[in-house]
Amino acid sequence: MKILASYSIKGGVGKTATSVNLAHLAATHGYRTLLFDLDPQGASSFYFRVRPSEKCKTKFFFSKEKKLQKNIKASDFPYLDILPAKLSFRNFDIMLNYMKKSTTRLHKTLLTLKKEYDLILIDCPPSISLLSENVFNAADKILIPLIPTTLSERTLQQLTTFFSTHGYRNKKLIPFFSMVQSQKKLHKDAMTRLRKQYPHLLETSIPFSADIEKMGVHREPVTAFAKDTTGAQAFMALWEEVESKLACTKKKRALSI
Amino acid sequence: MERQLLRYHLPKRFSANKLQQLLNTKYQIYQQALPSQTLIFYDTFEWLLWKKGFVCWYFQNQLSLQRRDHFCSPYDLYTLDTLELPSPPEILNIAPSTFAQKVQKIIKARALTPTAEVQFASTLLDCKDSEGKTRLRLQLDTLQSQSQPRHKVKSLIVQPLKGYTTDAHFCQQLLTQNQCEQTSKTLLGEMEAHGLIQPSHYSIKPTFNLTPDLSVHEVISKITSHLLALARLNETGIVNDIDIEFLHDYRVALRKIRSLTTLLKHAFTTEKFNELKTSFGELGKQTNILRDLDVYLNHQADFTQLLPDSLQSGLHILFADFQQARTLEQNKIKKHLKSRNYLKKIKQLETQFQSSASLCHGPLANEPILKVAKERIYRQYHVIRKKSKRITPETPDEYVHDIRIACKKLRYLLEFFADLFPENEITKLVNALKKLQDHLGLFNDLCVQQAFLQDYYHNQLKKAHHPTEEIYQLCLSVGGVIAVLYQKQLQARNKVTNHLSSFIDKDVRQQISHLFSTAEGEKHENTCELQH
Ligand SMILES: Nc1ncnc2c1ncn2[C@@H]1O[C@H](COP(=O)(O)OP(=O)(O)OP(=O)(O)O)[C@@H](O)[C@H]1O
Ligand SMILES: [Mg+2]
Repeated sequence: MKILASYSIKGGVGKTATSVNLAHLAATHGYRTLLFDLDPQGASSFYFRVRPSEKCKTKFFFSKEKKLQKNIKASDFPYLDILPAKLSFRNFDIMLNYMKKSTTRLHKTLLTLKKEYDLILIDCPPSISLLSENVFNAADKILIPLIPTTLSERTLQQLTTFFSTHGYRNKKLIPFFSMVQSQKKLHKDAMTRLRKQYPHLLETSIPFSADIEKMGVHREPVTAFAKDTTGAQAFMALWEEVESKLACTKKKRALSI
Repeated sequence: MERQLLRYHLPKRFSANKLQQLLNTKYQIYQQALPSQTLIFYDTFEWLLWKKGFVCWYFQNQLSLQRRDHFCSPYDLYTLDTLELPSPPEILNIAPSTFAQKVQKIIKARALTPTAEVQFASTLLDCKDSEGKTRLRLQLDTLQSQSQPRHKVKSLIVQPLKGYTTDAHFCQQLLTQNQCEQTSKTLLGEMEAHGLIQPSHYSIKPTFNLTPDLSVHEVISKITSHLLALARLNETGIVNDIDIEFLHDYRVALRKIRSLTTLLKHAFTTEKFNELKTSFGELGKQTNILRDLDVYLNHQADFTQLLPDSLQSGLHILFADFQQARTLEQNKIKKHLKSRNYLKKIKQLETQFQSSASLCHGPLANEPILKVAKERIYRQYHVIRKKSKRITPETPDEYVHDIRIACKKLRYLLEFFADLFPENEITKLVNALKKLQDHLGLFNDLCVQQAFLQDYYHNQLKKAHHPTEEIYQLCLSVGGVIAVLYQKQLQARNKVTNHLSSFIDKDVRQQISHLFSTAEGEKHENTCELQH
C-alpha cells in the first residue's frame, strides 16, 4: 500500500481537484483506492456526493481501527472508497489535539488499512500545522500544486526549508504546476524560473480550465464526466507520471458486478 | 474493500418494475436494462474445467476464464483471462496465447466444446439518495435455456455498498416481505439446480459399486455393461474428431473388458471365452494405427527437442506424412464406427452382457466375487514377483514387456474390485504400482517407437525408386531420433529394475498377503508358474 498526499500551505491551488481526479483515475486503473478527505470543509467528499456518518466522534475516529473502517463509504465508482472527515470545528480541534501527541499517529492509523487498499490519497487542508507533520510522516509522496507565480516560489521555498530543517526527505515532495494560464506572461516566466530551480518538477501541468471548474456543478471528477477534455487529459498525464514515481502495486481480485 | 453479494431467488411474477415500485418510496431508481444475449459455456467432454473448479464462457465476442466460485456474471471484468473471438466455434481451438496456456494446463489434450447455451438478460438498478449518491446496487439476472424455455433462473443480487449498511438492511427486509428468498447458491449453482447447466459424471475410471456377495457372473455383467456404455459414449467424439482422448478412452474401456474376461475366463465356457476374446481383440485392433499416429502427433514438440536445427527439416517431412496418414486413418475409423457391421456387433455384445446368467457357464460363474478377487489379485502379484526376480541386465527386453502386461493386469484387478477392500489400502497399492507402471510404460513406448520408426524408414526407402533429397533428410532425422530414443531406453530400463525390486519387496508383499491371501491363493502361488 502506498500513501499519496495532495498538499500545499496555500489555499485554493487545486489540491482537492487533484485528489479527486487522481483517486478516480487510480481506481479506474484497478488500484483499490481510498480517498481520505482530511479537510474539515469536506470538499472531496462533496465531489463524490458522500455525506459523513452522522455521529462521527473524532475521539474514536483515529483511535480504533474499527471506528475508522466504519466511516469509510463506497463511492459510485468501482475500486474507490471515500473516508469523509467533515467535522464540526470543535471536533476538528479534538483531532488536532490527538495528533499533537505524536506526528506519526496518522501513519500508524492508516497502516491498519494496508490489506484493503493499494493506494490511499489524502486531500489536505491548507496550513502548516501539527496535522501537516502527520501527513509528511504518513505519505510516501506529497503532491504540491503550484500556481506559477512569484508567491508560489516563496511558499515552495518555505516548504523545502521546513523539510530540510525538520529532517524530512525532500525527495518526498512532488511539485507540479496547477491552474496554469499559459497566455499569461507572468505564468510563463515563473514556470521557466521554477523549472530551472526545481528540476524534479513534474512535466505535466494542469491548465486552468472551465471543465475542471464545472466539477462543482456535476459533483463528479472531470475524468468521469468529461474525460476527453483537455483538463481531464491533463490529469491522466499527471496520474501516469505519479504512478511511475509511486511504484504502487495492484492486488487483483474478483470484484462484484 | 471486499464486497459481499447477497443473492435472492425470486418468485415467478417478480419483475424489475415491481422491484422499482417497492424501492421508489425511498430512492430515486436508475434502471438500465442490458438486452438479452447468448451465453455459451465451454468445457471438455468430462467437464475437466468444472471438476477442477473453473468455468469458461463465451459472451459478447469474448471468451473468458474464471474460478467457478468467483463467477457472478458474464459481464464480470475481473476474470482470470479473456480472449476476443468473433464467433463461438463448435470445437474451440485456441491460438497460442496466455489464455490457451492457462486452459491447456488443465485440459491437456482435451478440446473444449459448448456444454450449455442460455439467453442472459440483466437489469441494473441503482438506488440513489436526494444528492444523487448511490446507496445500493441491485442486479436482476434472467437466464433461460434456448432449447428448453421452461428451464429458467431469475436471480437478484443485492450489492450492499460500504458505509451504507442501513440501506442494505432496508432492502433485505423489503425483499423478505415480498416472498423473495435469500440463497447461498452461486449463479452457477442456481443454473445447475434448474437444469440450465448439467455437468457430466463421465469418468473412464468409474466405480462399479460392487458388494462381496455378488457372484462372478453378476460382476462381469455389471462391469462390462458399464464399460461398454462408456466406450460407446466416446463414439461421437471420435467420429467428429473432437480430440484424441475420445479414442483413447474408447480403447481403454474395450481393453479393460478384454482384460476382465481373460482374468475371469473360467466364468465362461472355453468356446465362449475364445469368441469374446476375438470379438474384443478385433474391436481394439481396428484403432491401433490411429492411436499410434495420435500419440506421435501429440508429442511432435518433444521430438523436435531431440534433434539439432540441422535435422529439423527431416522431422517436418516425417510429421507432415503422419498428419496425412492420420487424416486417412481417421476417415477409415469414422466409417468403421458408423458401419452397420460394427453397430450390429457392439449391440450384440451389449445384450449378451446384460444377461450374464446365460452368458457365463464356466465353473467360476457362480462363485462369490470376494473369494475370486482375492485369489486373482494374490496370484497376479506373485506372477509379477516371480518374473521380476529373474531379471538381470542380460534378460531381453521382451521379458520386461511381459512384466508390464502382468502389472497392467494387476492394476485392472485392483481397480475393478476396489469396492471390496478398504479404500486407503487399495489407494496405497495402486500408487506404488502406478509409479512402477509409469517407468514400464515409458520403457515400452521407447522400444515401440524405435521399431515403428525403423519400419517406417524401410518402407520409405522401398517406396522411393530414386532417393530424393527429401528422403535423405528424412532418413537422417529418423536415424537421429532412433539414436536418442535408444539412449533413453537404456536409462529407462535401469529405473524399471529399481522400481521393480521395491515393488516385490517385503512391505508390499506383506500388504498383499494381509489383504488378499486365502488358502487357495497360496496354493496357486506355487502352481502359477506352470500355468503361465
Ligand atoms: N485547473 C483548474 N482550472 C480551473 N479551476 C480550477 C482548477 N483547479 C481547481 N479549480 C477551481 O478552483 C477552486 C479551488 O480549487 P481546489 O478546491 O481544488 O483547491 P484547494 O487547494 O483544494 O483549495 P482549499 O485550499 O480551499 O482546499 C475550485 O472552485 C475549483 O473548482
Ligand atoms: Mg481543498
